[in-house]
Amino acid sequence: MGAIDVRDLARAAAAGDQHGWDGLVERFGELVWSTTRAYGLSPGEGADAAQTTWLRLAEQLGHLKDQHERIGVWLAATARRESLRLLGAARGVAAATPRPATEPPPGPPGAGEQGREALLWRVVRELPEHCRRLLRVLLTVPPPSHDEVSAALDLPVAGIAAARDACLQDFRHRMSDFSIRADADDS
Amino acid sequence: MQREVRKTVSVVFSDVAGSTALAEQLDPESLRRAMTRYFEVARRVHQRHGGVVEKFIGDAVMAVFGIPHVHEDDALRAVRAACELREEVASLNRELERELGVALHVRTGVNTGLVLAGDEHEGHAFVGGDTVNVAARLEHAAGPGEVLVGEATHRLVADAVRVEPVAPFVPRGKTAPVAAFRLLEVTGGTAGLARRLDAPLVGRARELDALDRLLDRAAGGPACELVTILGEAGVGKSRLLRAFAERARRRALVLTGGCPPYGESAAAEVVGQLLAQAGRAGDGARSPEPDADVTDPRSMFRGVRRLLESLARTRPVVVLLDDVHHAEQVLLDLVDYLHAFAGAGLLLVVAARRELPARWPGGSVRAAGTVLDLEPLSEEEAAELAAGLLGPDRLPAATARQVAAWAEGNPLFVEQLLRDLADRDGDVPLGRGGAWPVPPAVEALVAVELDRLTAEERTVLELASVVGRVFDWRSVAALAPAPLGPRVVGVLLALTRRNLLQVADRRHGEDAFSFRHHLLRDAAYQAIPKRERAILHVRAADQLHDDTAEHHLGQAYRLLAQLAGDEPRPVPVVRPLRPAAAEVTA
Repeated sequence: MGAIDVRDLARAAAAGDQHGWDGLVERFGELVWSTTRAYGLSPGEGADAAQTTWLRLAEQLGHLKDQHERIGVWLAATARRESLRLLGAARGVAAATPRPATEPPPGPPGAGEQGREALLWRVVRELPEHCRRLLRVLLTVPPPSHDEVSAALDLPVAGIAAARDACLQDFRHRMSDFSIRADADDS
Repeated sequence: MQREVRKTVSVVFSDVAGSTALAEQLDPESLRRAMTRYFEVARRVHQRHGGVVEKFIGDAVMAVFGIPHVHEDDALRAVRAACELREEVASLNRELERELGVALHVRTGVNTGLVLAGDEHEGHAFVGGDTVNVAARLEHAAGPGEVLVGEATHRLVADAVRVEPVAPFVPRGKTAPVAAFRLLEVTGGTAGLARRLDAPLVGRARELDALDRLLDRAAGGPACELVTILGEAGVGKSRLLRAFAERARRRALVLTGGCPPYGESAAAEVVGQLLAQAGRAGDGARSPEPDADVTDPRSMFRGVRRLLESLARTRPVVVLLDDVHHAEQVLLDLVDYLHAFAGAGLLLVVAARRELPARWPGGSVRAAGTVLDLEPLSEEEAAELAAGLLGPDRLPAATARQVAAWAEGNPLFVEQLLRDLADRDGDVPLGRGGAWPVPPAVEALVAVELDRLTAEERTVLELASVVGRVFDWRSVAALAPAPLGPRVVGVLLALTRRNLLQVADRRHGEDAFSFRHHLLRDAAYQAIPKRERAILHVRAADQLHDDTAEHHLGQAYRLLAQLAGDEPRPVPVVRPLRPAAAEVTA
């Protein structure tokens, strides 16, 4: 399915074409959102940071001509900055360290009674912090480039693939107990 | 293995307004009788349209359309039932007023959405959720005698109803406002959304030529001809019938009939349609008009045949029957009978979905009739159709190609996607690389295909959907619970015969299958509860010794994180009026 070039979307948006703008939002909306969530902003704060990010794009788009193909990187970096700024403001300091990424709630009502369910939530909750943060951004739809992930999380591009593999293996390891048990249930 | 599925259903929620006051007015015994009669009316009305009365809660009745089996027109059935319930309660009220001096004022809410439905074999262990809550809230917001229809339902029935919008309201216990419409009437027709049969015909030259030749052959005799047009839902059978009717009218009398999806006298309705048209065309030289009484086929069959034969004496007669997969057996028998005994000058054209031959081989009585297999349009043709529907100025060529690729050549899918996108936005958005939200009408069609499967077929199809659009049967077998493993390949072949799967090209590897349409794969995948999906992905990562392990683990993690409360979708972003303001001033 031939994807429409980001440059075309950015050029159209810069020319005031609403379709172009909507196309950018469709393409990168989840990346911006995931980035704010990866920094542990609450849904309300995340929505604020995301809106500000898009507002910045609307202001800057005309000046970003050379970066049209890197709009995703620009958005990810801006979302990171806005998230950290918001976290700083919340604590009354200029710069801030992130909170744990999207702290999952203790589980939905009723989950506690069922061992299977509780175990599943624990797998997600107990995954190391840096993995949750990385996976939150990496598993965005459509999949972001490593440059975009690097900008969102301020990580060197070169380490992303290895970090992802390590986190997924960790996750697999934690899930393996669960899979075996699910197999037993089925048969 | 699969105990629950996620599926889209329509819910009708009705309650009696002011029942407390009623209880004061009436003796408990009379009240109970009145309510029992109301419940009977409600049950009968819902059943007539294929709904299941899920429960009675106090004075409230909740009916669900879509369990145990979904129908593509569940939303319209629900709205029709709601409307009919109102009418029948009005006539019940006339009796109650006469007998007891009271009347029941029923308020109704209709809503459509996703639910997690329990296994049909264990009764309808039906889990509520937001879809049901909103239906109840709509009911609560309705005035006495009113039916309020939720937005999702309205989107599926817009062309079959007359409504007026009511101000969106925020129901108790919810944060987002709910849009609603007051139902005035159901205007008829069997389609909730009208088909664009007026759209320019794209492709199909070969099929039209074949039909022309069959008409020649029928006209030349010695006997009647039968052709069956088979194709999946939305592939363009009705559009082809219409195009052929236009051509054939120049030299033949054309009679058309369509089989309604359900109803007590569906066959009689179709025969009635044909006879009425034949009667109008009879120009005096008529045989005695036959009776559309399908309960006595002996005289009806012969009467219809004689009438058609008498009409065919002056010019050829073409009978076009659409949606014959819905037809009752007696109508199929009539077609067989005509094909067997009718004389020259008659061409019978029957259009149906691919499941028809399983119950009716067609033309089996005499020499086999002709079968035309209607394939999806090519990508170029589908793009041309998209541009034709919306106008090239509103649909850039690149987007038209994306729409065509998404629809995989199914004209109805093209039509619905464009309509849906245009409804949402006033115009068609470009982005997302063609990964658009599935229009509800398309989702309903796809859901019906999956719903017809046996439990085992369904399980295997769902396992396959976890592997991907194209998959190797061994991968599916590796995911299957032990007792199912050896049967997987047989079930996959059965699914191929059912046309849900196709044998994939050899370049995809040995013994590979693929889903016929990417939407079928998506629907099968999304019907699996997320938790099960996550477990299957992890199992796939463990079992499939290939390079897709990372993909599977990533999907599993994403699903679990969503279940743990992490919203997958971003909040809507404000649209700046002039995104390029900076450039203008710079």
